[in-house]
Amino acid sequence: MDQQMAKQRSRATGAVRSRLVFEQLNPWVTFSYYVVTIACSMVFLHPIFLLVELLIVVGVNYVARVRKQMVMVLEGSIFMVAFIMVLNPLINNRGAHVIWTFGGTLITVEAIFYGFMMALSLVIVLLTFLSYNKVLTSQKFMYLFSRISPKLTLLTMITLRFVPLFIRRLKNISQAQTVRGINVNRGSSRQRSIGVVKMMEVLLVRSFTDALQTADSMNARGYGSGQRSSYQRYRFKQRDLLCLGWFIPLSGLCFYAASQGIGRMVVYPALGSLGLSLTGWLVLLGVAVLFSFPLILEAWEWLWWNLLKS
Amino acid sequence: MKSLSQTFKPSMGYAISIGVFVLCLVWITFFNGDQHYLILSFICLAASMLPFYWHFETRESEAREIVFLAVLATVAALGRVAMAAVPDVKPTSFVIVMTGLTLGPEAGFIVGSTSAVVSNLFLGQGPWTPWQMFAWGAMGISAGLIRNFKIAHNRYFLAILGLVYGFLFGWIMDLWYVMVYVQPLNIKTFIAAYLASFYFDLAHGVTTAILLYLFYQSWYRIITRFKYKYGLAGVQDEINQQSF
Repeated sequence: MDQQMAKQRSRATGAVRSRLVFEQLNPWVTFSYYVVTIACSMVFLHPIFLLVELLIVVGVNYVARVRKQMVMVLEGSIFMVAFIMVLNPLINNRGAHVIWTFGGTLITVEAIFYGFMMALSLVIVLLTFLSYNKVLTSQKFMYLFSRISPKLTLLTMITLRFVPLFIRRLKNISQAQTVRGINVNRGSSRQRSIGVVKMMEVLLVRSFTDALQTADSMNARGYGSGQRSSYQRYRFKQRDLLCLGWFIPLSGLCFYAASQGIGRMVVYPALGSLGLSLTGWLVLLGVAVLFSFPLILEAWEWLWWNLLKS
Repeated sequence: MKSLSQTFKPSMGYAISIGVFVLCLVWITFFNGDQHYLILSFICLAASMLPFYWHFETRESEAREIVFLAVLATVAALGRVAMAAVPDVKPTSFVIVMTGLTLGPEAGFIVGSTSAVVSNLFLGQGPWTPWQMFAWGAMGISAGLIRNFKIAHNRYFLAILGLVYGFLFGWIMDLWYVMVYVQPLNIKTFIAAYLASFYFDLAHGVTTAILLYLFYQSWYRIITRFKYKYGLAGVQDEINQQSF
């Protein structure tokens, strides 16, 4: 019993400690990481690049504790991946190595290969968004955009707060309807859906009435009487500057290399060689470092901790 | 520091957006810009949404209006977030079309795009977010633009419109992965993509059509009533005169 308690406690403290270093950075740094990685996965179309990127993204997701969602995303996106992998060879008849023909459609090795690479790239993007959703919380998202357009951010903020509130109200309404003898969870799907929209109608009337009060209290507290100020939860620290200081130049270098054709495999008209030149390997290293930015921070922290501890 | 609305005129967004489009055309014509579908599509997406956001951001508006729009956007977002129990019904498009029909193009756009962002904050952001913002925003705008015609308030017409909206929405949403990941881009590609998503689009369109047919009148009455209760009618006239 005690052991179990201790285990639970350690898990609880573990949850507190589990905030990554990456999550503590300024949202702008996090945001630029995601922009750069997603762009990289679309720019470097080369199987070695894509596989390395995939491995690192899986690693980042593993560290960011979104393991279960990873499987879910892969299951959910199987339709799109299959679509891309099948459609590319079917509609694309270019390529030198024909392996199959039917009804005037040529299936070429090149097209299959291209479809495979594209599907890989899509999977990388989808997996990257998993840790994005975990790391860039709605609060940080709001922080990023509150300076650019305060009114829209306010609107989004209010909407964001209304969603859980309205779900609770919807539950209340459905309970009241159940007491009256109307159960929206029974019947054919048509009856159910009509019941749901009727409930939403009730919700709309009720919420409009309540929201009027909210708006008036906002006015009473001086909304619109002057320039809006906003509370900045995240500061731009020295560490953020240091991170951006190497991250941005490195990604600039990588994109420059990409514009020179490095890290882009020749597929059409005939499949090129898989091998990479020396600069190719260097660019691959750069891309790997870019992708593993959160892992590097984590490893650095771990090293530092262990060095100081001993 | 002067406030944003004093510094920039609400209509300047149009000028910027037109400028961006001209630059894009120059890029396509002279610098092989049509090789970069992804970047080009994102630029066009942003530039086509910019004027509406700009106009909303820079004009004066009351707290009542913002909260009113927030309620509608929440109800629309709930259509995706809370309706997991009833898989066939996603009333989001219905709410957005109703907003456009009652409050006009700008409100329709704002409610559509905000509900896309907010529902994705719950369901997970992805590369599809900007496309959803655009597609639902465009749905709100077009519903708002036709609201002054008498036929737009006919239930049968609305049912057909709902079906059309379902397909148009699906076709816009197919673009985000087809444009980037399938080569070459020709008419066959798009037909294949649209065939692949036919069932989902049909389900979406039929749901929207049925909801518009059954609930148009009651929702129209509710939203219009609250429009006057909130005193948004004056704002409404202003929107009619200024934009579009």
